[in-house]
Amino acid sequence: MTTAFSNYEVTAEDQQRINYFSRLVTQKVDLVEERKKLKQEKEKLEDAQLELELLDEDTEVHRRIGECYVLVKQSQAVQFLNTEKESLESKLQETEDKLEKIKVEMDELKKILYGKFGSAINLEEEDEDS
Amino acid sequence: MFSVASFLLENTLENSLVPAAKFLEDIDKVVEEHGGISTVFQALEQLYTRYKILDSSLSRQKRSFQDKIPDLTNALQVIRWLRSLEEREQREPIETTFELADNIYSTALVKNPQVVYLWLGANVMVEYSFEEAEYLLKENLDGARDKIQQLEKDLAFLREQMTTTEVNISRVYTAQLKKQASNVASF
Repeated sequence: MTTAFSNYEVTAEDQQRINYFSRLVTQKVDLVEERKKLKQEKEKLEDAQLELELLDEDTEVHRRIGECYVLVKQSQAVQFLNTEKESLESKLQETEDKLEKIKVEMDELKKILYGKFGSAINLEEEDEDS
Repeated sequence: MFSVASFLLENTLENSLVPAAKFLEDIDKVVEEHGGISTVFQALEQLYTRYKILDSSLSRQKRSFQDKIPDLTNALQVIRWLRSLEEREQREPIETTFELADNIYSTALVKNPQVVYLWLGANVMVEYSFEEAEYLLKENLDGARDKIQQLEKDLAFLREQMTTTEVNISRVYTAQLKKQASNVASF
């Protein structure tokens, strides 16, 4: 095995590719984490929306602002939730786009690095939950 | 901090905090010039350990700034809401529920609020107008976000230096094995 490994000559250019690849992995981990948070947030908002729909328009509900709750009309709460959800969805889309871009770059690098080093290099992540 | 093993470092000031690791082009030459495999190996390991220490310290700083963000955004949200009331000229008392202690809430009537009090730390609280408070909080929030961005940049650079060092270590190791193998073969 050692003799097989030592046949590969690592150049400075390869090193740069490996570094860039590891940078992408770090970014990807952060983005996946962020996407998870945003999705959870979105689910919460959707739950709240469903509950609100069951209420009469003039009912007052507690809306959370910062750390306290304020009584507002159902219609106002609905409006508030809609704007919240919109901004959340655009953030989510942004994250997805970034992830997609990183994935393309990673695949490109994988092709080059695996092409040169074959099984002597391992570029797989531990959990593939993307 | 990075006084030893200067032959492993790039002579640039690309990043003032994190010294750049040099990619060792010719392992055999480096080993020959710097006192043999075990010395080089030790120096690499030492450098790697230092990078790791720096990594955990930067990560910690980043986390502490990240922890500040929810508090600031919460406070900002309240102030913006108060300002929106002012704009709509809503003068009747507002009924709110606030947290009295952990998990205990109480109701309060807020009559025509004009000022807020910001907790500045060290047992000091200062009265601010909505406008001033929003400005201050926004500035703090932007400051924290800038810091996080800078730290992320430093961390990304640092991780690259760590990867370079890791590859150097494994290449020195391989060179050693290769030498042993050829020694055995020549017998």
